[in-house]
Amino acid sequence: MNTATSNAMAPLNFSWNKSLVVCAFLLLSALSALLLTPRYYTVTSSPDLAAIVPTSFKNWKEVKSPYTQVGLTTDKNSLVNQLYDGVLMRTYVNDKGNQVMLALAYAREQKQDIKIHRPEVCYVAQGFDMVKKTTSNISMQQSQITKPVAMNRLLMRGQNRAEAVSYWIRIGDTYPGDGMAARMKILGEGLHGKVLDGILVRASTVLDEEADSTSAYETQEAFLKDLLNSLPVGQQSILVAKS
Amino acid sequence: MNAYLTKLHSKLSFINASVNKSNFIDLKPLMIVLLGLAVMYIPSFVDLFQGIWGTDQQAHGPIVLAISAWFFYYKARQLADSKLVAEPAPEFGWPILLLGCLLFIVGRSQSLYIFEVGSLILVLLGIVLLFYGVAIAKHFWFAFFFMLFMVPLPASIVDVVTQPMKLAVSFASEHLLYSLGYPVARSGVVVYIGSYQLLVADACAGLNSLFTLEALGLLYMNVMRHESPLRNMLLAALIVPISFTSNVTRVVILALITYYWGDAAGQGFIHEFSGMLLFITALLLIMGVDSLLRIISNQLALRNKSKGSKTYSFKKTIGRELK
Repeated sequence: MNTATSNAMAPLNFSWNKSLVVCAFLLLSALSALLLTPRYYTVTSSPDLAAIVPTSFKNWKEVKSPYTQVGLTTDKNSLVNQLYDGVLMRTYVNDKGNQVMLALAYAREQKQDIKIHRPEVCYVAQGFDMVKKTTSNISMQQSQITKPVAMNRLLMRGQNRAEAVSYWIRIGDTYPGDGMAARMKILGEGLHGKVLDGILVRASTVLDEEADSTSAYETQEAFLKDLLNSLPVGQQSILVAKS
Repeated sequence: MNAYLTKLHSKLSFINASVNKSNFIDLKPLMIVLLGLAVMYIPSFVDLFQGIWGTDQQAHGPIVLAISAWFFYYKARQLADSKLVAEPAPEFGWPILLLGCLLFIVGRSQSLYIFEVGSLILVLLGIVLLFYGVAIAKHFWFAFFFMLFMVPLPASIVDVVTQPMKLAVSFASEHLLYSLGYPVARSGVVVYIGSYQLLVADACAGLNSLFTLEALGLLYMNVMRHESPLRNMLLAALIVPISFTSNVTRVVILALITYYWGDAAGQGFIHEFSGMLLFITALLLIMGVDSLLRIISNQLALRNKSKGSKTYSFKKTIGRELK
């Protein structure tokens, strides 16, 4: 009985102590999250793509195209500006008359939900069906670049036209194969405080016949290699990962 | 020995607390915890409001947040009249709270919304277990479950789910209009009616309206406390086709408005209003289905009663316990 009366104030004290400990934990979590937020940008400023990529190189030159390129987002309403720091869309033609559409989308900051959209998603969202997808590692034959590029080749069939697409996505110093791999890469580096940049390099060609895709892929590969070779070494690392 | 005493002490103090209600509902210690929660989560919610909760696909987030808050209050008030006793369960409370904090740290710092917002459920559950124990946490179970609807889905999942839903809505709308004798055609998510062309947008896919309706439907059932769990589950499952039907109705009505009164009418005020129309359609359908289910379940209950089956009496005791 005696204990019971002496305990009359006890629940209050007990709750107070526990509350303070819990509150400390919550505040500590908020602080840790703040401290762990990645701040170290791997790239200091966004490159000016239009200035860097030449309008003519080797046997390629820019032309006005009758086609509108397939957009770089899934929804017309979502802003390209929100996802990317720099976007470049051009059409080039070589001396043989082969046309290649180039799309570059650069983002200085890759986050979990604000990351580069993969072309297979963008194309499908805009009414294309994916007929085929292959991925192969292609060395861009550069002495400075030992890491081969993970080149994806898509054959997309739309309502009005079919397109052959070659693309790679670089995030930091890797070429993640899918969205999940990109997420894990961003998460892993992010926990070490690093903010990764990323770029989509996409070449596409409108096909008269789907059977033409093989030669289109070859032209696209040659085009991308020529483009890369025309850039000074320092700027190549915007498009491809340094080893 | 010392540990045993503290345990006994805490047991005694809470028996005491349950007798003396003013101690039990002493909110001052809880205020400190709420302060911590505010510091932790207010920046997150500010970011959400400025970010993805403003988009079409995640627009249900704020609604669910508001209803969750109300529901916690509603359940807390019920608690005052209940005979539930606080028996802190630190053995469950601490691990869940710490897991929640860890998820928050990773989610918040790496902008991983699914962790950042999901952690709130674990943190709240941990706190309730820590201070009030298992029985009271169970009393709140639906509030915790309900908050799952607030967790933003990753954009990759939303994109993957939205596309087929959009196609299905376009397909159904086209066929419905065709069977009504309108000159209609479709390519992908673009519906052509007469000389007009309508693009079925992400919002029309109805992912967010499906979530909102499902959340509200479940809430309705929980507050109404229907006795038959089968009926609740059926209604919850039927909200999916109901939401789909409402979205098709919306697209068809917009197509008809465009067909008769032109593009301007279809895109103007009526387009905004069609969101409301969607909810009215869905509400009427839910009420209709609910009444139908009530009739069926009443029939079943009647039959069970005459048999005096075990399940029925079991349900009755559970019902009494909750009250």
